[in-house]
Formats: sequence, structure tokens, C-alpha cells
Amino acid sequence: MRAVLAGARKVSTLTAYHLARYHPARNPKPHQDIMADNPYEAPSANLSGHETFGAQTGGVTQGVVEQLRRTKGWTRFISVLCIIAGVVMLIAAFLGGSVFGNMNGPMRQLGGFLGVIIFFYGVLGVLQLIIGAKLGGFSTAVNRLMYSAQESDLEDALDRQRSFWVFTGVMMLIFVMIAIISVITVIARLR
Amino acid sequence: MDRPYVPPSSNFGGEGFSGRVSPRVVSIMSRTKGWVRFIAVMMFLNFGITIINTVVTLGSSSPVGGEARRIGQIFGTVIVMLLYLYPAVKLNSYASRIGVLLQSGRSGDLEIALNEHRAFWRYIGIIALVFMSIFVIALFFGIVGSVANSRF
Repeated sequence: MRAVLAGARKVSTLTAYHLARYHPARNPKPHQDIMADNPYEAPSANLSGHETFGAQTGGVTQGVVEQLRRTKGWTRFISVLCIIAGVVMLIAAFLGGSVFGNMNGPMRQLGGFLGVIIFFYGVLGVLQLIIGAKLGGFSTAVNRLMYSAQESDLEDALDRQRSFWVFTGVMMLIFVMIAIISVITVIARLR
Repeated sequence: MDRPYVPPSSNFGGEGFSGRVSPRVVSIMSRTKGWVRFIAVMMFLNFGITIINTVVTLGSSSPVGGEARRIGQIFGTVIVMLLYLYPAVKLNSYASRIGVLLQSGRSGDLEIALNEHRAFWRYIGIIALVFMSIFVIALFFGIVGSVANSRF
């Protein structure tokens, strides 16, 4: 079974080369813009085992799956990095909180300020974990799509990707608002 | 087609093949597009602010550094350009390609859009790998340096 999968992946890599070489973005001729149904195309593996790719129904073409397959590795890598960073930040926030909470002397006067920093550190850690989980979910959905070639799995993968971008956008919006409020506050205090 | 010696051509997208994505996929992508565009614009803004900041600090006089500082800042600006501009361009073109997909509804356009998406993540992954490598090398030299300086 493994040997068959390895062989299929090898053929799939050839397809990736073919897609890159004859991609419509590089050859924007009107009669070449639908490359997936090229009758002279090199043979490619269909990991799903279904006829969906052959019939090309519902928009789940092998080209779409191939693009997502080539994205999956990178998103998985970044998601793992995000989760590691999130866990490290949360541990640092907990350790920092307990260390500074037990301090005496001049450091204790900084308690409020340090508390705010540690709190933000913890919040950032949680946000990193959420981002990592969302990206990981996208990679898992793409993996499912590769073996099923079902339209519902394509929709699930794209929806998870949308969810990631929405979350990142909202987070960015909140940070921009915080930055603008901070600048206005500083200017108001300086006057 | 008037010429009798026109090379033969295949019937791309002929009978029995719609080559269209489902309405739900179009709906998901339309809801993705705005946020991707927003993030791309934010990255462009970040790039612009960094460039303005570098130009302003290059123009100001500083008692330390001199020529070396200027060279360092120019080098830093080039790195920032590479870091910020490319992913912003890729995300922007991803949003534009989604726009084309929303108008045509063709699976070929979905593939082109996802190709831009893939290029973005590949770049982010490579940058992460480069920074991790630099971190590991710095950590290694730091440990070697501290062991060499310690008195056993």
C-alpha cells in the first residue's frame, strides 16, 4: 500500500511540474486557459480512487487539489511553529507572573506595569495557539480532500482558510485600533 | 479559420464538462476576498511606513555611526522591502484572482487564485526557515562562546 502511495505521489509531482509549466498565468492565451481538461495532458495520479477528477464535476479538478496539496506542507509547518510559539509564550507568562508576584523591594513597585505586559503576553500566546489551530485545520482538511476528492471537502478546506483570514484580519484591525488610541493618548498627555 | 492550413486544435471545455465551481465555493471565496485584500493593504501600509521611517532617520544627523550607520540602514531597508513587499503583492494578487473567479466561476480561475495563495505560504515558510536557521546558528555560537569563556 505504501509503495503504491509513494508511486502515486511521484506521478503527482510530475503533474505539479506540468501545471507549473503550462499554467494559464504564464500562458494567458484564451484557448489554453482551461488546462485541466487538456486531452494531451501527461497522466496523473488520482489519490481519491473516485471518478471525480476524471469527470471534473463540481469544480474539484485535479489542478485545484494539486495547488492545495502543495500549500498544505507550508501551512502545516507554520501552524506547528505558531503552536510552539503560543505554548512558549503562555509558559513565559505564567512563570513571569509567579516570579514577579513573589518579588519584594523596588521591583514590586513595577508590579502593575509588569502585570499588564505579562497579561498581553498571555493573550498573544492564546492568539498564536488559535492561529496555529486554524492553519492546522486547513492542512488537515486539504489532506482529507486529497484522498476523497469530494466537493464538500474542498468547501471545508476553503472555509477553514477563510476562517483563518477573517481571524487574522479582525486581530489586525484590533491591533491597529489599539495603536491609534495609544498614539492619541500620548499626544493628549504631551499637550 | 479561413486558412486551410490552420493546425488542428482540441475542444477545450467541450461537451459534458462545465469546468465551473459550485456556488458555495464562490460564496466562501467572496467572503475571503475582502479580508485578504485588507491584510494586503495593511502590509503595504507597513511597508510604506517603514520606508518613510528609514528615509527620515537617514536624513537626520546622528553623533554615532556615521557612514557605517547609513550603509546599515540602506541594507536594512532592502531586507524590509523583501520581507514586506513580496507577501503583500502575493496576497493582493490572490484577492484580485478571487475577484476574477467571482466573475467567471471557472475552476481554472480557482486554480490560479490558489496558486497565488500557495506562493504566499511558501514564501512565509522559507522566511521562517531562514530565521530559525539564523537563530539556531546564533544559539550554537553563543553556547560555544560561553563554554569557551567559562573557567572549569
